[in-house]
Amino acid sequence: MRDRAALRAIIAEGVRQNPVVSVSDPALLARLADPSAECGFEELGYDSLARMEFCIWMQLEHGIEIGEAALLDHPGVDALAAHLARRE
Amino acid sequence: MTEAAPVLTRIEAVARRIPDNPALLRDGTPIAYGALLRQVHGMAGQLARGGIAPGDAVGITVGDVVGHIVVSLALMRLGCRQVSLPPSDPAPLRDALARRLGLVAVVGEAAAEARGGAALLRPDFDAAAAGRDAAHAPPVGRGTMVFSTSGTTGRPKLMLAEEPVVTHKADMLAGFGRVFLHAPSFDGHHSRRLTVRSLLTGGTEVLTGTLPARDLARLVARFGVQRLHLAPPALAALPDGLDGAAWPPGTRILTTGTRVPQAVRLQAQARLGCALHVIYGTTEVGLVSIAGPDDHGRHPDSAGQVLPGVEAEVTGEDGQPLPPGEEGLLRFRSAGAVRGYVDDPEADARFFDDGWFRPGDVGRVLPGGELLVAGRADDRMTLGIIKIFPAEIEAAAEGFPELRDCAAFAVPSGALGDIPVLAVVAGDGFDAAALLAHCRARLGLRAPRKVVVLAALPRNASGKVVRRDLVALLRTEGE
Repeated sequence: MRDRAALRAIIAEGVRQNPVVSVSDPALLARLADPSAECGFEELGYDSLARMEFCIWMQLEHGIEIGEAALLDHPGVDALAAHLARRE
Repeated sequence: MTEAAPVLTRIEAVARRIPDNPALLRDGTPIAYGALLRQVHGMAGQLARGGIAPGDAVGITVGDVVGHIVVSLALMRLGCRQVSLPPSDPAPLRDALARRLGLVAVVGEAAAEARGGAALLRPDFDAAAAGRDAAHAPPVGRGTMVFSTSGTTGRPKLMLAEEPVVTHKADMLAGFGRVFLHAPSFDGHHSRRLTVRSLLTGGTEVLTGTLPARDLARLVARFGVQRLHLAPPALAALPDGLDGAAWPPGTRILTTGTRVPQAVRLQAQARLGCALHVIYGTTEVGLVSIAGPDDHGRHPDSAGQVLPGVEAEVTGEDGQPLPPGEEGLLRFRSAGAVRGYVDDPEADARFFDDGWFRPGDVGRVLPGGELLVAGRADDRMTLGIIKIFPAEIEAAAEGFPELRDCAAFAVPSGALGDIPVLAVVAGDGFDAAALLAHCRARLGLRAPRKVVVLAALPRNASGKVVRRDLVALLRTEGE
C-alpha cells in the first residue's frame, strides 16, 4: 500500500528518468521536487511517446501498471499521484 | 549416371570409379569405397535372406557408427523405409514409434531393442564383408528415411524422406570440402544424410566421438579435414577450448540454427582464422541458404542467398504473398522438402500449404535473392504498435564491454503490450545504464527498457533460452 506522497515521489522520479524527455528548466525541476506543488505533463513537454516511456518505467521499476489514458485524465504529477493513491 | 538412378546405384558407381579411396576414416583407419560397398551389398543380401522385403519398415539400433552406416545403406539398397531407434531413447517412445511406422523388424544386437512387436535381426558384419549373402540381394531399390523431430512435448512429428530429400544439395556441400567431420551432437538422421551426400560425391567422412577442442584440432590437422559441421554451442566453446593451441588453417566450419549470435561468429572467425558458414533450413524443407562471412558483413541478419532450386516467398498473416522486400512470414518450396508429416493432419495444416513449408520464421527476401531472417514469429513482441524481435535486441547488445551472454524477453503489460527487457550475464565493471543508452541509440523505440543482470540465463536441455522463466526471474528480483 503506497500513499499519495510516496506515489508522487515515484512519479517525479519517473519523470526525471524518462529517456525521451529530459527536464532542464530549474523552475520546473523545483516544482517537480516540491511535494506540495503540481507539475503538468504538458508543460513538461510530454507527448504520446513520452507518456508511453513513463508508463513502461512505472511498471518495470515499481510494478504499477498504468495506461497513457491515465496521464491524460490526470494531467499532472500530483493529480496522477492522487489517482493512483485512490486506485492502489 | 543420371540423378534419377537410385542412390545406391550411384554410390556403387562411385565405388567402382575410386574403389581404394577412403569413404570413412575411423581412428585413423580408412574404410575404402570398394570394401564399404561390398559390405553393404552383403548386408542387403543378409537382410533379404532374413525376410526383409522392399517397402518394409525397419528400425536400426546398431550402436557402432560404421555398422549403423552399413545397415542404413543396405536398407536403402533394399528399398526399405528405415528409422533410427537409439537405445538411449525411452522405451515407451521407441515402442510408440515402432507401432506408428509398422516396423516389421529391428536390426540390432539385443532382443530388448526389438520394440512394438518387431522381429530382431542380428547383423553379421563379418559375413557381410565376406560378401557371403550378396547373391540374395534383390536389384537396387529406392529407400526412404524416417526423420523425427525431437518430441519434447507430445508425440514426435515424423517425416518420410525419399531419396531426393536425403541427397539434396550433395554437390554444393561437397564444394565446401570433401573431407568432412561432424560433431556427434547432431541428430542421427542429420548424420546419415551427410554421410549419404558425401558418399555420392566421393567424399571422405572422418568419424569421431565427442572430443575436447585441442584433440579435435589435432584430428582435423592430421586428416586434412576441410569441412567441419558443428552445433552452435560447440562452436561457441571452441576458441576457448583450444587454450592457445592453433586451429588448422584451411578449414570451413558449417553451423546451423536460425540465428548464431554475431559475437560468436566474429569471435570464432577471428580466433580460429577460418571461414564460418551458417546454414539456414529445417528438417522439413532441407537446406534453404548458407550465409558466409561476406553475407554477414553486409547484414547481420543475413541468412545468405536462397540456394538455386529453392523457392522462398514472404506472405502476410493471411497467407497472401507480399511484394518483394517486405517483411512477413517466410515459406519455402524445394526438391529437398518432405511432403508433410506422417499421420498428423493438424500439423500438416499448420506448417504445409500446397507444397510450401512455413517454418514460423519472419523475414524478408531482397530483390537479389538474399534472405534476411528476423526471428521466430512466436518470439515477436508488440509494444504498442511497434514490432520487436528478441534477436535484433540481442544483436545490438552483443559485443558491449563485459557482456558475456544475453537474451531479450517481454514483460507483459495490459496497457502497453510487450515491454522489451534484456537479461544479461556480465563481468566486473559492466555498466547496465550505458548498455541501455547504447541500445537506445541503435534501436530507438525497439530498445530494451531495462537490463537485468543474472548469474546465468535459464536454458533448456537443448541450450535454448527459456524466455518464460526470465519473466518469472524479473518478478522475483522486483520483490
